[in-house]
Amino acid sequence: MSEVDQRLAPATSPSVEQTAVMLATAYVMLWNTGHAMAMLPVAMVFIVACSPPFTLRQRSWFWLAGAAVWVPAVIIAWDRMEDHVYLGVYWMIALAIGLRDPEFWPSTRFMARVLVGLTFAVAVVWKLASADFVGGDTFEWLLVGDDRFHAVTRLLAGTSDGQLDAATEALRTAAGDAVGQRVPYQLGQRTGVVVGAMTAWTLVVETATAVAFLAPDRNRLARLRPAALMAFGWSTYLLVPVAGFSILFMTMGAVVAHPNRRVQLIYAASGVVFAIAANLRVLEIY
Amino acid sequence: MAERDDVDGDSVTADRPAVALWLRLVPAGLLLVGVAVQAYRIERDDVTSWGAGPAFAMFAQLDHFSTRFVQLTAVTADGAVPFTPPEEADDEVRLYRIEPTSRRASDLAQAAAGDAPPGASTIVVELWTVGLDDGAYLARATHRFEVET
Repeated sequence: MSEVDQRLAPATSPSVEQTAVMLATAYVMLWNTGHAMAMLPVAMVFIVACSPPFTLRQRSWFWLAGAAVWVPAVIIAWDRMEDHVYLGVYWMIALAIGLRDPEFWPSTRFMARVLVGLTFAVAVVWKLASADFVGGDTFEWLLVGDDRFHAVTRLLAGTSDGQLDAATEALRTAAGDAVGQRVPYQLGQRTGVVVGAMTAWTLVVETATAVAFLAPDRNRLARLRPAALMAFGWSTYLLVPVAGFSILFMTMGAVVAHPNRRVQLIYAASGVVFAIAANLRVLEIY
Repeated sequence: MAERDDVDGDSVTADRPAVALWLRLVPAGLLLVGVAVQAYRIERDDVTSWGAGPAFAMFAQLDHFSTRFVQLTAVTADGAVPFTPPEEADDEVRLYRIEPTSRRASDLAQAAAGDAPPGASTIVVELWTVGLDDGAYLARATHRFEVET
């Protein structure tokens, strides 16, 4: 086979595993168009082109082009983009680089684990540097100010519906008619314990995930990777279903778990559950 | 030239050299550069630490996009008159909540000027944030700009 023929020849057949990783990534980027609707047609074309029987997904340039299309959006419309959109773009670039390597998995595994590890490490640094977070104010505010936490406010903190309604109204008043004035509120008796537990759990599980993924493969801490990331995912994304992060983390976790099929299947099943949760949330069923 | 497959059949082509380590570090490098740039903007301009941009500071700070709100006041010959920004200024309001700079304040004042009370010489653009104060909610003004109309 001539050199030119080799360049034009189709890549070797991808495994089901590789195809699943790439389709999951394309699906995440489709979700991310919620932050930039102008990207919707592009993301739809991309996911179709990424699907069998087409073989474009095996091409490095395809992922690089996919990432390049997103770059103007994340720079110009940065105010509409959340962190996970950027992570999706970095991951597409990682796939492009991985496909340039004769050995796709070792290369892509390395990039996936460093991206996951750094994402959590940065998140932990921000939280530890924040007096609001360490002191519990962030979660105490979220228990009322973010309706995704209301189940926790009621069930775990022991807040009655009446107390929650009154606290929600107090928050609205503090930002409306009573600007600059203290507006007291009262939550359930276990609020302090719940806020403390949520704060501590978040710091522990995020730190564990960062350390486990940044640790070299031969380090014993590396064995914690699936448990740490799964613990974070299941304790976070049923409550706060963010598809852009949850499916992406499960995808990257599955790549890092290669070639352990059992762990990969658990990641895949978790990703499916988180995707369902996110869809139900969008449909206001959940 | 023989093709070389790895155990899963996911190799791309034959005899291509392995990707250099520096290239494998590009995605991580981009992540860190994005975080550094956004951290600088948060420090310099009080840009929201989460909800917009690549800081990866999810849930870290109470003062962020969702706890911030805007108040506009028109200064007239009769005194200061608060007024509500029109719907057409929604984008400018959102941007000022994300990035409370003098430029954003000026953009918001201009977008809202048409709905200001007659005779307004100046529009005061304030950013407030709702925090906690020992069992109570309390909004505090964090940024204030005066824009001449």
